[in-house]
Amino acid sequence: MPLIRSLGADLVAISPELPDNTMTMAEKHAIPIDILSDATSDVLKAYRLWFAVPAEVKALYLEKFGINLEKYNGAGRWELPVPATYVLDTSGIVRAGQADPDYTIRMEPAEVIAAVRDIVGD
Amino acid sequence: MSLKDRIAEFNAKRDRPPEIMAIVRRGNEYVKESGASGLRIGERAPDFALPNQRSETVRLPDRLSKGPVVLNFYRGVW
Repeated sequence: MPLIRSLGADLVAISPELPDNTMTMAEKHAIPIDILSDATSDVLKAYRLWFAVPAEVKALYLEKFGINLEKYNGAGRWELPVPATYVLDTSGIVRAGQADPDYTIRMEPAEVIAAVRDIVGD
Repeated sequence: MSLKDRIAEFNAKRDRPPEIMAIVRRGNEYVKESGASGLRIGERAPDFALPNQRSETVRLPDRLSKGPVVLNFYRGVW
């Protein structure tokens, strides 16, 4: 992350969660990146990453994992993004990226850095 | 070690029962079939304005005017 910054790029994280009220202001200021709250899921939809959690998976989360998404996302919002990473050039064009419903498959940090280097001509 | 290898190591340690993994896999297939496939390389990313953790509005065009932006969509803190 410091490397991405040192190359002149910004890092922004987006989730459907409502703003976190459990963090103190000091903690919020200590986080070095912007964590954005898409409380209406409009941005997730615009990026074609939005999905409604299937009933079978919802039951698994509630009964086996003890995770109630409504606690984080708000009432009635059993919805999530496909985990995704996009590297945008200064025109907003996607130059590299990855999106996979299997949340254990993520874009390699080395690939992100290589894409940023390519954009800035480093 | 690559992130991929570290995740593989984590999954091996976690060792979830096969019946749970089957539900997760079916869920992932459902999402794939729903067409939620994200942006394509070369496509222009839609603009947005969203609040950050300090309730400040962050606008994508503002950030792009300063340099490249790495966007990460994640499911949540849980």
